[in-house]
Amino acid sequence: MTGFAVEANFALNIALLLMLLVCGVAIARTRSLMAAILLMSVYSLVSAVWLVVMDAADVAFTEAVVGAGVSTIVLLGATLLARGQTERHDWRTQIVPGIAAIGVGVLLVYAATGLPGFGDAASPANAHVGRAYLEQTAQDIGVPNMVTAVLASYRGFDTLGEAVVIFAAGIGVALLLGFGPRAQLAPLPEDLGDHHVVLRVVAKLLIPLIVLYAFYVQFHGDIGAGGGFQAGVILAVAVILHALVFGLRETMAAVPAKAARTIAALGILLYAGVGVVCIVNGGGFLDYDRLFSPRVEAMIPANLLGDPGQAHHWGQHFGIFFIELGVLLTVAATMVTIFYGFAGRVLDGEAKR
Amino acid sequence: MTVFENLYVAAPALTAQAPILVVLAPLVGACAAALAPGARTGWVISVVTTLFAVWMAMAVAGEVARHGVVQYVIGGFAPPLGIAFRIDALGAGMGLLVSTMGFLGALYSGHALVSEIDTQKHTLFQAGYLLCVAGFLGLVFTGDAFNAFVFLEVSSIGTYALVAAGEARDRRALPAAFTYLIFGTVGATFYVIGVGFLYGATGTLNMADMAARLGTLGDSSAVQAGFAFIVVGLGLKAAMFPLHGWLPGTYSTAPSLVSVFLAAVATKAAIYLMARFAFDVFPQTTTFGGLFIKDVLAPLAAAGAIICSLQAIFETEIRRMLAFSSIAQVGFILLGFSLASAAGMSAALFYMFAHALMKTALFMALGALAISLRARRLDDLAGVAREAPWSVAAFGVGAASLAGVPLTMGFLAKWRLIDAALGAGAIWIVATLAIGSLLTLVYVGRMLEAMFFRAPPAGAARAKEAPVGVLAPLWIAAGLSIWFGIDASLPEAIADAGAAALFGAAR
Amino acid sequence: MTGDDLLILLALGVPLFAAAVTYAVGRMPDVRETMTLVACIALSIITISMFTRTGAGHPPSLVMAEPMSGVEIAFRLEPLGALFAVMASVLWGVNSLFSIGYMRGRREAHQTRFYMCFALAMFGVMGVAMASNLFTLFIFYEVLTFSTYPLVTHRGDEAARKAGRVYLATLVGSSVVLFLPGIIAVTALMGSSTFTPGGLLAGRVDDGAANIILLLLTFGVAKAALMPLHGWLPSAMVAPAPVSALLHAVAVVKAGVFTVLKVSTYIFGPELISTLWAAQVILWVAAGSIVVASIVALTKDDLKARLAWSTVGQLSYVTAAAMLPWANGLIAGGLHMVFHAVAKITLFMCAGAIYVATGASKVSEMEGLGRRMPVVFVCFMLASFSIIGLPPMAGMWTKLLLVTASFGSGAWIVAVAMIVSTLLGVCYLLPLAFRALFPPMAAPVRDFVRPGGTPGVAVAAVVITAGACLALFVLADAMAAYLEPLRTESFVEGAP
Repeated sequence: MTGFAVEANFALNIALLLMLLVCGVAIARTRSLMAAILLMSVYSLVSAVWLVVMDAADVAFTEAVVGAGVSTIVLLGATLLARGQTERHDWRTQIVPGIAAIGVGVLLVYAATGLPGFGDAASPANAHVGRAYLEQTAQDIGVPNMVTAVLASYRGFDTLGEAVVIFAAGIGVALLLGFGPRAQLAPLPEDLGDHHVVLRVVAKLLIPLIVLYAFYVQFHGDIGAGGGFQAGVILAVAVILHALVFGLRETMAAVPAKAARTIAALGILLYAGVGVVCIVNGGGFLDYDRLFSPRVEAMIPANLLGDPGQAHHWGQHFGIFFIELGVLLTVAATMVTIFYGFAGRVLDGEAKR
Repeated sequence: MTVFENLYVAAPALTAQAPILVVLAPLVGACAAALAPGARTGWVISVVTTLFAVWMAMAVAGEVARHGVVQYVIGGFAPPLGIAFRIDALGAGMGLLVSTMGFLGALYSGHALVSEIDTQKHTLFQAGYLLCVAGFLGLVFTGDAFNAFVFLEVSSIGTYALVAAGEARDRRALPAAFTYLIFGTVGATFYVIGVGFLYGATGTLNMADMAARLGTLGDSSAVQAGFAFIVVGLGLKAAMFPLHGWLPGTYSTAPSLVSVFLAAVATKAAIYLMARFAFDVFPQTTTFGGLFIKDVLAPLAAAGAIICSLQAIFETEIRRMLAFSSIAQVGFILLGFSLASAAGMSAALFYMFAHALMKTALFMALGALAISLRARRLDDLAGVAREAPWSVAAFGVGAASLAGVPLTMGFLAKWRLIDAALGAGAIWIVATLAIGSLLTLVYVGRMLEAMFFRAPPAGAARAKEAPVGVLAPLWIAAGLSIWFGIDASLPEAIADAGAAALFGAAR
Repeated sequence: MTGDDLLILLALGVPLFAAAVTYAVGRMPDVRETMTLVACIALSIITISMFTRTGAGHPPSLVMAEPMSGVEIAFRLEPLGALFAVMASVLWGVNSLFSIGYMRGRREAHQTRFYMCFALAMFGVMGVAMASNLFTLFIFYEVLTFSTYPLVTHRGDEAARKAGRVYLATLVGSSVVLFLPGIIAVTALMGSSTFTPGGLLAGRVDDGAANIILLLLTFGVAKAALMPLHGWLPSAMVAPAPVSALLHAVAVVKAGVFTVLKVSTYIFGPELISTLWAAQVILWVAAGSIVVASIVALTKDDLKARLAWSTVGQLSYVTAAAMLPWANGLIAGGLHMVFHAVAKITLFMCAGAIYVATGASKVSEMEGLGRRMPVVFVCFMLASFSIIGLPPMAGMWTKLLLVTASFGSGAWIVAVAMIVSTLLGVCYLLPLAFRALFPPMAAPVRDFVRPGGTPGVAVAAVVITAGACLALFVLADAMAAYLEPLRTESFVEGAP
């Protein structure tokens, strides 16, 4: 890098860090829940930008979609069920947490002094397993995007676990909020809503595009940034947008809550099922190389993905395809389930009236 | 683990896949339960999959006994590139514990849930429960530090919701679950920060590989901070004094099934992982680890054992008494742990098994009473022994084991701890254990006196005996507490082998 | 299964069976009490059979379970244990006889629970007597504690519950905090806690550890009521008289001093004991206990309290005997355990008999009562003689032996304490008997609150034990000979 680029990079880092700091302090100071949620969204977005600066495109994408996108929607949904203000606490109750936070900060800074410099090619993180991934992905997996290779194949079991975490969260929300009386978010009366016409027309145009984009992110994950998590969230956003604009009743008619829960479970079953098929074909769990028996593998046309001369790794390709599909289903369905859980729920006190 | 050497419970092909199947069975069961049409189906799925997990865990234990360490590579990539389960005697023993407790809990849930949770929520509840079981099983089997975090999260996210589901009976479950969520999330975050630093310092996430690389590194600030973050994070999960704030509310307001399983397994799994890091991943040559265990962990554990026993004595709600007792018992376990020797670890493991069984019996018995009686305070349970003799007798067995009455497993557990402390020459630990045991006797005495000897207040609601479906798992747990108090060779062998896996030699 | 195993199992099983039957037939008092008496007789036969076998050099032994390596539930008779078992079982029978009279005479509530707990307590006593290691002994020691708790709180009012709490807290507390760590320490050092002739620890541990273990094992046995852990004994006097008779003469306190004797004989051995400063400390404490308890006894107006404080002092005789650096002390201690038991049970049963008949429980209320109930008071006087150590009562021998043993081994402080306490004993026991039998003036005599006075069976029980005090005077030599093996290195063939 040239001297100018280094300096520009440094300035950018400082600027982003300051923005994060301002956001953090503002979140801690504000008494308005709405403001806090929006500031957290901003915080996530700035983080995403910073991650891009650090060349971590996949992580940045996820942060932008999940942190700035869907979690903001869920939190806003939750504020509907709460008063919009937080109570001011006595400063004395915050002494211990404050000390703990400062202690953690000091420890983090202390620890950082022992870490190798950013981007140091000789650092353990880059020299040991990281280098091995770089060198072996093409040969082992045959997928251009190494992040996808690591997440879906080398450490595919972690990804299964993370999908299960999402599923567990969905189960939890459904268990707590999915039952009981709720006011259906009915569509607004026709005569009232002239100025909603624009919204509805735009939404109708947007939703197919969002779905299309979700599938692009999903299937492009092998090559560029993206994958099941991001795609699932984007897909869920399409459903949520529909509910916000056209009313929960309409959306629930199209995607019933029960169906969403079922799809979430099926996604996990699909993921785990891929692993079990590998076992049945004589490999270990999630050993995609054994996803197909040799007979099946021989039946796949060699030029399916173009160049017939290269090693195919059909098992890896299809394994990643299926498990990403499982992740997509689980994440999208869980997000919708969580949204359903919050949206339209009446306060317990009101339900009794 | 010589007792398991001739344990061939499954065909070789199945045994080879047993490690993953242990985890997979409840995981798939959770999805199936979420899809199940009715409460009864959900319960059957829960029982069948956990029973299958017990079976597979036994197969794993047999393999471990024969080969020492079983490594199961996932995804076809050998570690450190891929993720692998690495199961030694310690992991196998914990796997047996978790799966057995999971099965007992599943069995128990058939009737116990009816009085506590809305019937239409049962399938989802069972799904959450099975996820929780799967998470803990994965946690004790995995040989990968980050994978352990994932499973820690799987189990935690499941339990937050399960605890909150107690709101149907006790509205305080909601704030309790929220507190638990905050503490648990902070703990998990600390853990993952610690793992992050270790990754930065070593470039690997595999525990064995990490241990080998740390051995050549020496004390760098990142490694030290990583260790601190991991221990504090897991300490939060293990309810190590003074990081136990979440536990009393959680145990006392959650549905009884959740209290049973959390008390039996959750804190133990965290302690297991802590032991894994303290004695396996971190080389014994690093001074800060040893200093930390001797000078920080041990005094804190002792303080917890005494202070929380006192809190249990002055508590009026029976489930909160048991919750504080659990924190105190965690202190006992950590005292054994802090001896940093094979004997100490073996005693701590034995204590874990004993404590799991006794607390299972105690919480299950309270759940059995709760079917017919809405009792919260100890006084509400006065004279209940006459109305529900079988439930209360099992409670008595659990309480006897807790107090360390001879011929129960709890007695031998205390015996072994004191023995180990004497062997290490740590007289103050012996004294702490003795005083802690005495305090335990006091609150156990209070409970039993109220239940057995006091006359019920006039006009109070009366309990009825619980159905057989609840009594069966309850008496399995209570019976095992007695059985292992008379012949402890099995848990002793597991504990010794587990300690030997960490320290190389049995006592 | 050999006859030996069977005897041990029977000795444990009969009381348990008696407890179960008592519970089952609780609604039929006659059947219930007949079954209790039958069980007493059966148990006495069993223990006497074991007694003779042990004397003949074939002690029954049995290993029941081994929870952990080095920790086993095992039984093996030896002379001291055999003697203790016989004493306890026979006195249980006598006491049951008395209980029937007392409980019916007083129309007490919860009689079934009372008899059941008695039988369970005997189960504990049998286990303590036959235990072949400290661990087994500890288990049955605790069984005894918990089975007697309902007896102490029998009356069920606030005072009884308070006494019960003190009782449990002291006994269980000391055994958990001191006794158990001591046992674990022994096991950790030696690999087992088996009672070994000549001393398990002798010559195998350093002095520091031995001193600490001796302190733990002696003060941990609060049943031996060594000061400052004696408080539970006077407070347990709220219990009915038969309970006091059994607890303070036979079962509980004797199990305590028996444990101390066993620890001294078989864990340490006289040789090791003689080198330990801890033994000297305990000797001084015991001497202090003897004197202080006797003085306190003098100040008590309540008869049972007076007897209880007397017991505290007498128990320290045995504890002191166990700590003397002289093997003969052990034999004297063993004999004293028996003789004191017989005498003290007589005194307590007399107190109970008086209470049933007249409702009087204070010493000052008993003036002249001897003319209304001469048999009881004559027995009371005979037993008092035995406690004080006057001929021709059994207590004389042991007092003589103990005082000479103390002087002989240089523990003059103990000898002085014993002599002082004897004089005090004369002061706190004899005036009562004399004033009752030979009142100085024609004082008004209390009437019987119960028509007919004490029930006949209760009086019979008193007469039996008072007679035993006399009989043992003659049998003392034979019993000393029986205990002779305590001094020798090995008393059983193939001893471990």
